[in-house]
Amino acid sequence: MSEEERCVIVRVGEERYAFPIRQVREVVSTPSLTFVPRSPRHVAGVMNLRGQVLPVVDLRKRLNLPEEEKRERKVVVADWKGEVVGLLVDEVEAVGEVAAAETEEEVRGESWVRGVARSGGHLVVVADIVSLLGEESRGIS
Amino acid sequence: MESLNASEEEIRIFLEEVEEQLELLETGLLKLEREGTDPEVLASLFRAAHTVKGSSAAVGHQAMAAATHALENVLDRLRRGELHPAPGVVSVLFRTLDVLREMKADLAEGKEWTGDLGPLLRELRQMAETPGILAEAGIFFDEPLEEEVAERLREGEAQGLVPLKVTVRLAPEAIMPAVRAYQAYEALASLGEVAGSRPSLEEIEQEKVEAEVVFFLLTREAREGVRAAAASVPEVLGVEIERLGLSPRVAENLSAEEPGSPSGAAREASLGGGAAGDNRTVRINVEVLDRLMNLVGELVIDRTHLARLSTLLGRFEEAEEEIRELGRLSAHLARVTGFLQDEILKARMVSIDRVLKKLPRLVRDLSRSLGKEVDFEIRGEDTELDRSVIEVIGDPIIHLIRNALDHGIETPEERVKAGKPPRGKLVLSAYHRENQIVIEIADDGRGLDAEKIRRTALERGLLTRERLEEMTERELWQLLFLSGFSTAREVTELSGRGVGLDLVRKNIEGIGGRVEVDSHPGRGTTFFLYLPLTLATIRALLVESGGQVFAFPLSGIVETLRVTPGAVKKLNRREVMEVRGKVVPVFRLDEVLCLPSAEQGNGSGYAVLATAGGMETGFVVDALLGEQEIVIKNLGGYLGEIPGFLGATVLGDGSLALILDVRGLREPLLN
Repeated sequence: MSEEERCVIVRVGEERYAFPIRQVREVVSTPSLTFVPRSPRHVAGVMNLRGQVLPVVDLRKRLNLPEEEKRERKVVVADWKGEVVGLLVDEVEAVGEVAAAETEEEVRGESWVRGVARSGGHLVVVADIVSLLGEESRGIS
Repeated sequence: MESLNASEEEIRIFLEEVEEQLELLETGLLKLEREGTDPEVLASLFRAAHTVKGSSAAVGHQAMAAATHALENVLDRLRRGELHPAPGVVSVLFRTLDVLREMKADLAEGKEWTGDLGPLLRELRQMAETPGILAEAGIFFDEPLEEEVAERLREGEAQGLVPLKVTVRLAPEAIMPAVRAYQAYEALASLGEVAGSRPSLEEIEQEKVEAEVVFFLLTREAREGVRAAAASVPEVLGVEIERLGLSPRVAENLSAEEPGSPSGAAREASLGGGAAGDNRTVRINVEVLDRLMNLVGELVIDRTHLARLSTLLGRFEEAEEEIRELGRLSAHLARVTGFLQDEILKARMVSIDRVLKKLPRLVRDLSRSLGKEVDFEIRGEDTELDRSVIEVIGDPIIHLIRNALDHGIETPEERVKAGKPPRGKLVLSAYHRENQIVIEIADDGRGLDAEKIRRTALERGLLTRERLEEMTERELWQLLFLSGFSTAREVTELSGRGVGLDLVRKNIEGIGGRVEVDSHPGRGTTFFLYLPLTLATIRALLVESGGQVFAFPLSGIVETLRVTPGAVKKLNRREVMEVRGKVVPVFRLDEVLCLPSAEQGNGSGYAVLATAGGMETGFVVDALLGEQEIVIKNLGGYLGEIPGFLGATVLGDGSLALILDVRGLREPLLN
C-alpha cells in the first residue's frame, strides 16, 4: 500500500537499509574522521565537509551490529533538523525506487523503521533518518 | 505571512526598521519620564511613531498602524504642550511600546498578533482628546511669537487648521511695498485666517515694510494653493512656506500629512525609512557579512600555510626562479589578505549601544518591582564591537544588571541605615583597552560576603576547608562562577535560579573572553567583562595527545613547560607539579579525554599550563606543534555542547582539530 519512493540503499555488514533520497544530501567516500572524546558511543567523530564540521554517526554502532575488521567506509550526508549529520556505512549499493511493504509489528520493532522492501535480490529495511538519529541533540549536557 | 501584502524581503527590512524605531521610542520615553517635556525628545518620539505608522501601513500591518496612529496623536498633543507627561500618561505610552514589541516579535516568528488592541486604543484616544491643558508660552512654537498669536494658532490647530509660516519676498525695486504686503495679506486671508504677521498689520498700514513680510496663517488649503495665492500679488519675488511649531526635520516628515500634498502617498508607502536618502551607506544582510568573514578566515589560514610552504621551499640556496616568484606572490597575498581581513572586520563593527539601549528600561522596571531606587548610568555607549560579540554579550550583561539590582543594591531603608544615600548607583562603562573591549558593571551596594561564599563552597563540597582558608578574596569571588553556586539569600524570580553567573562565564568564555569580579564589603561590587574585538579568528597552540591534534586557545595559556621524569608528584592522591613555587594540579590530556590510544604515560612530554577562573591547571601532552591562527567552528546541534570543547577548526591538511575549553576540561576533574 505504500507508495514508491526514491531511496539510497546502503549496506552495513550483512544488513541493507534504504534511506529516502529527499533526506540525503550527498555521499562522501573515504572520509577522514576526527574522534570526539566525551561524545556518545555511536558517534564516529567529526569530519570536514567543505569547511563545515559534520558530525558522523557510525550506523553499525547505532544499530548494535557486530564489528568487522576491515570495512569500506562511506558517509551518507543527511538532513537533520536544519543541519547536516553524516551516517557512516560500509557501502552505498544503489539508488532506486523502493516501495516499503507493510510489515508486522514484530519486524518493525523500532519507530524509525518504515517498512521492508525487496531490492536487487535483497531485503532492505526502509528507514527514516531523522527518527533514526533521534529528535534530540546527542550531546552530554 | 498571508495577511500582509509584502514579500519576505520587505518584511525583513520592515522588521529591522521597526526595531530601530522602537528603540528610539523607548529611549525617548525614558527621557520623557525622567526629564519632562523637552521639544527635541518629543520631536524624536513623534518622528519614530510616525515612521512606524507609515511603514506598517505600507506592509499592511493594520494593528500596528492603528496603534502607532493613536500613539502619534497622543505624542502630538504632548509635543504641543496640550498634555502633560504625567506618570499615568507615560505608563500608557510604555504599554503601547510593549504591545508594539509583541507585534514585532510575532511577525518575526511568522505568527499573527492576536492580542486585543481595543482597551489600549481607547486609553490612547482618550488622552489624545482630553481638552486643552495649554502649554506654557514658548515651548510649542520654535518661532518666537507674541503670546496672542501663539494662542490663536494653537486654538486654530486644535480646530483642525494647519498653522503655516508664509514668508513673502518682495522685489527690492517695488515702488509700493506696503501695498503689495497688504495685497498678500488679503490673498492669504481669503484662504483662512491670518493670526499675525511681521511686520504687523498696523505697521504695514503705516508703510513700515521692508523686503520680507511674514504671515502666520491658519488654513485648510494645501501649500500649493497658499503659494499660488501669495505669488499672484504683483512684485512678489518668492514665497516660502513652513509648517509651524516643529523642528525642521519633523516638519518635513509631516508634509506627508498635509492635505493635498502630492508626496504624501509615496512617503507612506516607502519602506526604506531614514536610510533611503543616504546613498553613502547600504544595508547589508548579516549572513552575508558572516559568510565573508568565514571566507576571509579560511583565507587567513591558507595564507599561513602558504607562507610556511614557501619558506620551506625557499630554504634551498639555489632556489629556482619559480620558487622565488612563489615566495613573492605568497608575501603579497598575505598582505592583501591582511587588509581584506581588517576591512571586513571594520564592516562588522557596531556600536555597543545596540545592546545597551534596552537597559535603562530594564533597570527602571526591575528596580520598581524590587522597591529599590537606582540611578543608572551608561558610559562609552559608542564603543564599537564585532557584531558577533555584540550578539553574545546581551544576555550576560542583562544578567549582571539583574544581579546587581537584585542582590547588590540594597533597599532605600537598608541603605539609609548603612549611612548611604537612599538611591543606589549602577554604572555600566564600556571602553577599549589594548586589544580588548572591557565592560564594567559597578554597583554601590552591599558587596560580596566572603564568609558566606566560603560556607557555600564548603556545603556544596566544591573545595576543602584548607584550600578555602588560604584563598585570597579575589580567588574567592571567582567561585561565584562555578556551576550551581549561588549565594542569593532568597530565590527571586529575577536572578536566583542558581544558573546565574556560571552561565555568564560560559557565554563570555565561549567567545574567548573573560569575566572577573571585584568587591568591597559595604561599598559595592564591580563585574568586568573582557571581550575580544572579533570572534573571527583566535590564536591557538596546537598540541598532540593520544595521536590526535588539539588546539588550546592562547588566551588561556600561562606557559608551556618541558616535563622531565619525576617532575610530576603525587599529593593527596592527586598529581601536581611545582611551578615557580606554586603547586599546580596536573592531568594527562589523553587520560582526561579517555583517548582510545592513550598509552601509559611515563610522565614525560610537555605541560601546558592553562588558566581559567583564576585557577591554574597543567595538562600533559605528547608534543607541542606550534601556534596558529584558527577559525572556531561549532560542533553543531546534533552533538550539542560537549564539556571541554569550544568547537573544531580546520587544519592545513583539511582534517579537523578539536578546540579545548580549559574550564570544561577541568571542572569534572576537581569535583
